[in-house]
Amino acid sequence: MTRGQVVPVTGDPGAVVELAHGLEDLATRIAAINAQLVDLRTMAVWESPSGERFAAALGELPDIFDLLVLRYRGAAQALLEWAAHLRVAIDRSTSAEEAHLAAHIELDAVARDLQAASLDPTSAWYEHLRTRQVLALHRAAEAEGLASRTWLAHHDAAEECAQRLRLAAADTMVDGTMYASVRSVRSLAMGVSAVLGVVGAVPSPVQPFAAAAAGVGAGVTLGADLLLLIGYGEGSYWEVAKSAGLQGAGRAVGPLRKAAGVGAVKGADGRWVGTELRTADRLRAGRAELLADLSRQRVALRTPVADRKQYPRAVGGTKPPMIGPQQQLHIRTLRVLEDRIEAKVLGINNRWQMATANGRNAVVLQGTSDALRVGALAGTVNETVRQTASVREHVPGSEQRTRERTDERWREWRTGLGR
Amino acid sequence: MTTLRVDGEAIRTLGADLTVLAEVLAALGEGQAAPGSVTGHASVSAALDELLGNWSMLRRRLSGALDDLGAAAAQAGTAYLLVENGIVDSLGCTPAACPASSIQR
Repeated sequence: MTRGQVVPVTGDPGAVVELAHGLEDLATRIAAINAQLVDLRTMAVWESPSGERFAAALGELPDIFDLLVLRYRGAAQALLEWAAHLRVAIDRSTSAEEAHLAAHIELDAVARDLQAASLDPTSAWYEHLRTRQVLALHRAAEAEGLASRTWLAHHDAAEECAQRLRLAAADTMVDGTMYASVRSVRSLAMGVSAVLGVVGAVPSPVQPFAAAAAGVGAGVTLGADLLLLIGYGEGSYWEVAKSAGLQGAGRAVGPLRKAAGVGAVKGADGRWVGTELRTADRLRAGRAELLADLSRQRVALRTPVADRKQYPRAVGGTKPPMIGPQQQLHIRTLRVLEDRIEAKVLGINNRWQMATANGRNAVVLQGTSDALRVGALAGTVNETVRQTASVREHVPGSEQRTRERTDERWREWRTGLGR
Repeated sequence: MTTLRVDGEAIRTLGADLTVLAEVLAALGEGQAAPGSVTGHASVSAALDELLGNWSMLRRRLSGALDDLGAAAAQAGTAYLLVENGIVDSLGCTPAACPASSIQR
């Protein structure tokens, strides 16, 4: 008995046709615009400073309109033929599925009656049921065969369409391997460092690793930006310099703070007693802090999971709880209120007292450190808002809206074709 | 003989067309054009995405240049129309006196 499954082909031929018509209309519009631009290049005489500027702007356009028209027309044609195949495949496979289902309903009914009829295998009723069963089996097998043939033809047609699309896409406009690699690396590094940045902000055994790796990812992104700028003229030096400045500022805060505080000792009366040092000596101490920071990051990168004993179980560690959950929550709330405000204020106060005690150059270093911190924070917030907006543009809803806007423009264009 | 013939409206329309083309080209290559559930086959979707997105370097350059040129053409067209209107007014031409004039006011 056949018990094979029949799965209908799915898809939206109407949407494919719409897409093909959109590409065809786009190609038509591009051809029309190209004709106008060619007229402007060859026929128009616009002798004035503004005309020269316009001609220069016209000369900036890459001469690829003909290639674009060929590409989109080829794609539209391939998609239209594919839509016809798809429609036939959906109809055939759906019919096969319905026939298969009907045959199996018949088979189940016959099987139920056969139990009773099998008490007398010589009866005409038994013979009739057997005949019905054979016919139903035949219909089911036919439906399976039809579905199988339809799927095979569907795959063949899809491969043919994909081949035609790839052929249409294989022109001289294709991105170079190096460019595509740099773009891919940049995109990957951005995504990974964004995720690691979030993980690096949450206390857990993998926090140090995530924070260090996010820094590496940001560096790779910056490197890719620089490559795109130098190699392909994409972006601007200002944007790259801004990113580099933000990263550098974030890294310089700690060393400068350290440099400002070198030599300051808290006396028994709670007052800071400073030491007058040369700026170069202070900066040397800052460099040591920077090296220590880099060393800590290297260690973190080598050990993705830090010592679990230092972290509570709630964040993936193994440190046993000393108090109950309610007390923990209470303490955590208090810490937020006290540590985050009082300790920060005291820390800032201490640092400034140390710098004041150390002399003028220490005050300048401390001031620079704080200014950089504020600047880097503001820059990071600005960048995060920008990236969030960019990410928001990639959520399905936004993509849909973007597509709808594009579709709307295409429709307007199509309406305008008759003008 | 001096000939001055400027179709400000055509230049302005060309500018708008170039700007729309820049936007459409910029939007076309980003993200997936149509998932396999719509096209009916994953290989068709993949090939379509490749066709729309495998020229991003030139696409970005072209889109930027079209945008700039579109803005310049739109501004030039608008400016020519304003100048034309001003000249028509300065010559004392009214719709009644110049019925053949096609200048929009």
